[in-house]
Amino acid sequence: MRNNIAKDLHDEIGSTLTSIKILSEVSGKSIDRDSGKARAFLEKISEQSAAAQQGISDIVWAVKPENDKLENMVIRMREYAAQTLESKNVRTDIHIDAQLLGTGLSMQQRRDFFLIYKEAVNNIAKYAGATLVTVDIRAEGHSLHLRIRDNGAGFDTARSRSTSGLRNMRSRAEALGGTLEINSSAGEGTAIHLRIPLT
Amino acid sequence: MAIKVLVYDDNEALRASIGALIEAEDDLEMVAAMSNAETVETDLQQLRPDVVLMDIDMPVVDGVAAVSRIRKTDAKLPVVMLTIFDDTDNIFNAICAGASGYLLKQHVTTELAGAVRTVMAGGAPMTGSVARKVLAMVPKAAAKEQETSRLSERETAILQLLVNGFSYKMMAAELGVTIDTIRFHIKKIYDKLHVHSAAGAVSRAIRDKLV
Repeated sequence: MRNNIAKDLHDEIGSTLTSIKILSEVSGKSIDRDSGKARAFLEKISEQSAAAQQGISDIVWAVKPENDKLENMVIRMREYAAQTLESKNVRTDIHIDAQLLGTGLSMQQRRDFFLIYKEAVNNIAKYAGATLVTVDIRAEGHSLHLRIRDNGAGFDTARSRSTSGLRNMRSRAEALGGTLEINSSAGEGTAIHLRIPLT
Repeated sequence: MAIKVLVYDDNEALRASIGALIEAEDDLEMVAAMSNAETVETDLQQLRPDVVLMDIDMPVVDGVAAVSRIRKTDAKLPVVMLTIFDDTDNIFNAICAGASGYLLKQHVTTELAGAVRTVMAGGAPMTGSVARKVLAMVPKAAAKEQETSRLSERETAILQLLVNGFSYKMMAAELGVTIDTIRFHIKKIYDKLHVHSAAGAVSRAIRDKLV
């Protein structure tokens, strides 16, 4: 399990820092000749630094043993929704079956589950133009279901099947031993449905 | 008239960045950036700031001790603590010692100007983990007369929502009130922490390691 966190640190944070270093050097080179370009690079550095800070915070959160219950997951999900969507005037309602609050997840499960949610929320913030997001977590039979619905613009699932964000979501769903279904069409919003087995 | 900000932080790079952030705002002005709070009383007398930004974790005189010393000379001067991650224990102690609010260093770029203006306007920010501590440390009022130093039902409800990750906007929607009402209640919670702490109970509990 620790190996996967190390891999995440390397892949996610390490590569972001490399990119920031390159952008800094390129900004330095272009600042005299083309300040417009330098400004664009500096904005990217700012965005990527924020993403790296968030990434590290998410890793630290997942590692802490006191965050092992779904109860803690919901808190972090609310905080992330408020931080990412409120400034875009999107209301987020998160509901979880009370009986699930004490359900425990392993470190890697917490990481994968939260990152699927995070990717969905980031996409809503970037593309959806939604005003309402509903997140529902419930148990059905022997499975845990996470449903994220937004009332935004929707997208063509046939064309966007293999963006890296969506691929990441699917591989994390697989790592959780579950399935991920994405339903969307232009003008109808998007519904993401993660189903994972409950031991 | 620009708001005069006095900064205390033992990290040179941070002093420089925070200085740059303050100078970039038209209504804020940095009067000085100090690396330690050893002479905080004379600093205040000489520099006369409108608000103090205080790093919570400094050598020799730490932020919490510095706030205590400030409060002995000035009951009203707004003091905002700067902290990394969510240093709950120190934040809580700082609020009890009289801090007006706190700010995570990683959010300084987006939140510094807002936090300064909020405390200048008499407001007070609060996050979930500190709310949890408040709920554990401050008793609930059993009757109206107790509400000067104990938590009312509304305040308890708000703290519980904060603990559950609700933002101010989410709480306002959940309770059917305006965000200003939420802010008003949180300010009252801060006031009660100060009162409760002045009574000594909280610092005793911390000293006796009851939390």
